[in-house]
Amino acid sequence: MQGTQMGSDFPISTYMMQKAGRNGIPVNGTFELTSRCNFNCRMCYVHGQTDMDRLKEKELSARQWLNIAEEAREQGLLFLLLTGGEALLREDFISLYERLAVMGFRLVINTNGSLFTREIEECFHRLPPARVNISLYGDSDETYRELCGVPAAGKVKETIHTLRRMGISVRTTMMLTPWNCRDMEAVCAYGKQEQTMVSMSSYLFPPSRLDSGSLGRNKGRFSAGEAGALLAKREQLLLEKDEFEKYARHQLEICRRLEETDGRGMKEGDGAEPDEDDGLGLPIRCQAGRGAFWITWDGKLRPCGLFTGPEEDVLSEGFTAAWAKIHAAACEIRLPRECRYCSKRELCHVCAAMCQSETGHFDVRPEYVCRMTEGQMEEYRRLLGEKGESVQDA
Amino acid sequence: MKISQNFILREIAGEYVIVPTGEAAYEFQGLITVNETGAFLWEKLQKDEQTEERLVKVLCEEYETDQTQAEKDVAEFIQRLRQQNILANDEE
Repeated sequence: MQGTQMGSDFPISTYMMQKAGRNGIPVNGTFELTSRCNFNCRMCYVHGQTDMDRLKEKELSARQWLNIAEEAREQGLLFLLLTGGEALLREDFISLYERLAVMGFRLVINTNGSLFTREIEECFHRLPPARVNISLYGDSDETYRELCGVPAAGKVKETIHTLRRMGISVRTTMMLTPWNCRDMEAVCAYGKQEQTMVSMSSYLFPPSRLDSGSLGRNKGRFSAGEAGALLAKREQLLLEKDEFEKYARHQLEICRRLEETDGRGMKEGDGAEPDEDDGLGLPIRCQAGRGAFWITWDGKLRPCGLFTGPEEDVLSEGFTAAWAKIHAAACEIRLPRECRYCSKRELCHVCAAMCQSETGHFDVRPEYVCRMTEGQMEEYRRLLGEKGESVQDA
Repeated sequence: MKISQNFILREIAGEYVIVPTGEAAYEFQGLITVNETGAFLWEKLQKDEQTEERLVKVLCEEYETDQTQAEKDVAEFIQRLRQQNILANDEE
């Protein structure tokens, strides 16, 4: 008999997700509780209508979410993200959260941080979530007005401060757009000051869930080259100078080596080898549909919230049957063949959702993402200097 | 001693995972996994008040292991539970 072997903490989460993904167990789920939002962000892909009453009528009820949660728990759901729209806008958010919080999930909440009340604070005191992800879109009310239509900077920062004071883990997230990128240093500094995790991205998905005609377009985003340069700048901001320099050099070196071998990466240290070649593109690389799912505010189960399909109606099918179909469908998805041997593949974050929302197909290369990665490489070179000897200050 | 109500044992993907709920999540921001014998002891501690002696006895009965090994395993398990403040009514 072995000892009792209690390992603890976060590496278990990664291990559990990987194991679940290999075995088709839905360990990681997202409940999109509402599409309603009190913001009107230029780049949003969920909240597209202003008739809030009509949207509310189509939302799943708390009872329906709880029934789904119970069935999903039986199937192995452990990591549960509550998101929206703005999840805290639901009038029954607290009562729904209280029920979910005692079911044995690791709960994370996505919020814009503007609707945090004393009642929610009291609820989180009793039943703290594992983490709250708060979008901090800018450092000032002026930026918020321009991007989100609401001057909420002060309130959002107050929410972050309150949660941190309570001892709750917070991730500050910032989508970088032409309307708020001037604040990225200030947002990063604020996140560090409050000791939150900080994540930023300049890649904005085309809002194909709202408008099927938006393939490859998002009026709120940068050109691909600019978005790539901002990804590099983000890393420069978030990493120490030496770390960034080492990371950027390493990424450029991998790309160079892969280019020399036509993307086959035969030399040691060239990054992950492509799987055995079956003449197609690679399967989905993330957990979408393998160990992860997303249920939209009106009850559609999808591999990922950024997909427009495949989808199954979770109310009529039941979670178990709907998941089985989605898992099977996701396993059939192949990414673009060209990406398989691309010399930039270690740096590029292309995913199935990007391909679908940029091109309408999972297996067609999204040009915007290619150009964005090239922009990122170009910015690395610029920041490292021509001879790669020193990093310019951010 | 007994398991605090703020922890739930779940079996997921062939793993036994302990999930903190309520205020326990402040002190314990992660997950714990236990093996089969750990899960067995957990269930005993969750159901009824237990002593180390009684746990050793049921472990010996269930797994037909020798007394010395069972005492070692139980002591190690209880120690880890204490470290994580998982036990209620614990009169160490």
